[in-house]
Amino acid sequence: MRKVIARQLENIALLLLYCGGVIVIIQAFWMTYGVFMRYVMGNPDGMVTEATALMLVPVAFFGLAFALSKDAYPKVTLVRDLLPEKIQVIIDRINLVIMVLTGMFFSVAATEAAFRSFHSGSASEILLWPRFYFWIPVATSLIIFTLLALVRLISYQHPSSLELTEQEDT
Amino acid sequence: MEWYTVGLGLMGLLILFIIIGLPIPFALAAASIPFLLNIQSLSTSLITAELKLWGVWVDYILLAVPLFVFLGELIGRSAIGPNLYWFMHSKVPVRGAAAYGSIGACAGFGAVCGSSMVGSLTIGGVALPEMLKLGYSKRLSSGVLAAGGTLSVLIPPSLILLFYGIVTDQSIGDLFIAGVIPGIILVSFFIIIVAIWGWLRPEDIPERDNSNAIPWSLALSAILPVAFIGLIITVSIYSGIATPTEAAGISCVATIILAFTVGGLRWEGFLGAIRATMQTMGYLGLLLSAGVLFGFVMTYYRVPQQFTEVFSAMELSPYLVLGVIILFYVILGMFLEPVSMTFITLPTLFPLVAASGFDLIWFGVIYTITMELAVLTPPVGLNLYVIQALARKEITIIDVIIGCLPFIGALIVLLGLMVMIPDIALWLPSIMD
Repeated sequence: MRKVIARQLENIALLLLYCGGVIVIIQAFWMTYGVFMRYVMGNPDGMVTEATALMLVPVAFFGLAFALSKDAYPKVTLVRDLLPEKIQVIIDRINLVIMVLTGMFFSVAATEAAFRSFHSGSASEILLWPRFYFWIPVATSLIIFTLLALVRLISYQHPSSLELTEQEDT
Repeated sequence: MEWYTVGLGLMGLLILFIIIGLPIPFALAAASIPFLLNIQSLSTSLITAELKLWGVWVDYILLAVPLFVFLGELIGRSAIGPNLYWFMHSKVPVRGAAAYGSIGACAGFGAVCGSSMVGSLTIGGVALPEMLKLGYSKRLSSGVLAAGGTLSVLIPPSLILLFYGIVTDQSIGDLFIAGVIPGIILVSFFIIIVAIWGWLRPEDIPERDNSNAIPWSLALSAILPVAFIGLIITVSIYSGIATPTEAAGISCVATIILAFTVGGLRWEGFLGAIRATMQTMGYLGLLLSAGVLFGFVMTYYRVPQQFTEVFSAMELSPYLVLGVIILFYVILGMFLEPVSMTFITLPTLFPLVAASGFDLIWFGVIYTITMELAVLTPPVGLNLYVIQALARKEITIIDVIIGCLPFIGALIVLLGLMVMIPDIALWLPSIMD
């Protein structure tokens, strides 16, 4: 069951990641168009700077859960690796608990912001896009990250026993 | 609470979390949140976090980060990098051509990619097996490629210079142009090191490189995109056509087109570039947000200001202050990777550099060189492990470390030169102004 939930969450993480990728590509093409309109056509696009900057907010968080699923966060494990395996298990669990709590803190902040943004109006004075367009993806990314970290905490296994299990599965 | 209690408490917690192996973005956040809750209630802290998340990321300058990362990943996954290396060594008929070619390819790659690890991986991935096959020694091959990757950090566009500019509020264009001459000097130093290496240890470099000559069509398919993308970035920024962020966007579009048409990029490679870019952004997203929260707590208690005042009251010579800061970064760089170091330490230390009377553009280049040292110094030298991972069976980490030593020496000499002749970095920006 936990494996199924973890897989589903990882699939959502991948979906969010590609959403972010699409936005990056849109930003690149829109900015190129903006420069073309400004310098070649002499008719500047009034939205491009504001819109692409606002689109960066979800881009910054869309890859959060995917980075966790790939264990891609930078960390210094020199001391941890020197400790006995039993202590490593405790330390790894403590780390996951801190990650879940930190994720919860930011998730609650982003979710509150998303709810408030339904009433707070546009994202900027120049661009009349509602602010929740940007907060909802951020809150979703942070919630998925927190849930994935929680599943990892619940089903934690030391890397050495994890390799053994994977070998047995194969 | 006194500022020093907060400063020591924050740093103590941060170091503890880093030592137990907590990923750095979470270590920053987890160290800040208890102090934040000491200043404000939980509900106000959540609003502060919300404001910081929004404030830090609605930033047009920061938009250049995913674009430059994506650009580097696209080139790294196309055939442009490998063909550039092939061209650089097969068309240079001198002894040691593969080693010189590696440096040239790393420099060329650095002109379109801002990440040292992507530079090392892309060029190293092709050059390392080739150099070992041709008979170059393990230490020279691994050292030249690990060090060559760092050229991407100094030669614009550079992600570290970009982050430095954001943290210290300096012109990204000036920082990029300031890195050009030091970058060229460093390339020259690396070439001289290979020549001296071959002279001192002739057995480490084969008499002849028996490699196949690259067809001109393939050579052009590597040189032209690199030259074109490099020109787009530099010309558009310095002619005033585009801001650095817009230049990143335009060069990204050009790279997508060139990588598919002449660079042999496949759909799977394109998806891989998206995944790698968003994975990097996932880490940066939280790192910057947590870094801003950390900075908020520090600033609330006036830790950077008080720290600068205490240091200034000591009336130390500015060069002693600079020496201490460089030494601090070299030591810290042995344990932390550059981006984390930038967001953890720079907000506190750069006011001290400014108070000592140093130019912050010049210091940006000095800072970037220390970051290059950081990725080459064990135990956490990223480039060392990247190169060793490419030939795990043939090369030990000790080979890579020993191979890097002369190149680390070159970086230290460059630091010394920069301190003695600041115009190395400041001359080009002054002409542009």
